Amino acid sequence: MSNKKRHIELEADKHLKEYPFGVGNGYFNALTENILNAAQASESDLEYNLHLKQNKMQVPDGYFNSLSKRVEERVEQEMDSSVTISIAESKPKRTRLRWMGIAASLLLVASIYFGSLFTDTTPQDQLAEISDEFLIEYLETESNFSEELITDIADIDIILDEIYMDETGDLTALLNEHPELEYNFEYYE
Amino acid sequence: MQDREILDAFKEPQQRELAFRELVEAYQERVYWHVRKMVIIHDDADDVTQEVFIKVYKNLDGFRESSQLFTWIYRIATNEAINHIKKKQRKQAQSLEDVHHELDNYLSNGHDFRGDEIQLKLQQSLLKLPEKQRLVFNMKYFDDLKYDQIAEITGTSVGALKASYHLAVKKLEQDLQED
Repeated sequence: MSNKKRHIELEADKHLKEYPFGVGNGYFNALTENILNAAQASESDLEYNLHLKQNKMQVPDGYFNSLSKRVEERVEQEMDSSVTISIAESKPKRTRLRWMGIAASLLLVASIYFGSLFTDTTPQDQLAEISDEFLIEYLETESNFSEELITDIADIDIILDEIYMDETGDLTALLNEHPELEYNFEYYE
Repeated sequence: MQDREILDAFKEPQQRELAFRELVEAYQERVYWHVRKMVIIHDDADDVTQEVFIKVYKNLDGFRESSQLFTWIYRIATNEAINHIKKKQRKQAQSLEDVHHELDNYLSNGHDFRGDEIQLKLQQSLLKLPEKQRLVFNMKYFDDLKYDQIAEITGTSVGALKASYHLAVKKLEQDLQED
């Protein structure tokens, strides 16, 4: 089709000049009211004050240009220093670490307790004999176990859901009992 | 590259690096901003964003595609961001309120934030919300995600999310109207 012919068709074809877009029933009836509402909306009205939706946080110049390169470098370092372990595969390891931690704790407590039975020294005396460095190292090891556990995504989900249920449980129960109240949330969709 | 092509290419050892680069470039800004809105401080957001992609790299082989790639990455980013806040709280032996107070100061001092008074007030009010409510609000209000997408990311029912968002909006509007 040549340009000339296409141009003539556009001019001649009234059908093509018809507006092809549609709006929902009653859109224009509600438009005036919506505009007035928006104009009168207070500064604190989250739904209408679009100014609030703007992201005003900033990043250093060129940050995103270099991010992917830095991510690749970090990945390379990680892969060099550790074997890839999938989340599913890491669970037995974490369980082993957890049990090793518990066993180490029990051993420490037992050694202090039983040690004190056969000697004249008190547990406090024995604890005093343990160097600060050892205790710090021990406590750091313990806190590392906690870090391992806390990074387990499944555990975090459970914790989050518990927090979440605390926050919204009453309202969700109310909505389940009175579904007609759900109407109030249409506004936010 | 589309998600499908990225996933297929990642399975090929020779194309793995290229596929991962494409993935990072495709999602880095969305992940960063999602994280930044939670952790507020740029340096923290930078660290967490890198951690997110390291986790993505390590676990992409195990991605079962039961959800969209985007949803899966957002889910990791969400967990990492919340995990970061909890870690920070434990490391500094602070309460969550203390952490939020620190973030509030960071915003008030104008670090990497160029908003006006009302925009600052909204961010400060957001810090008073519980973590997950803040998270849901950010995804719905700022990122315009649909409830079913947020439900997939957070593993929460749509009804509960609507309730959470509704509560967040009410609290924030009330807070903004004060003073």
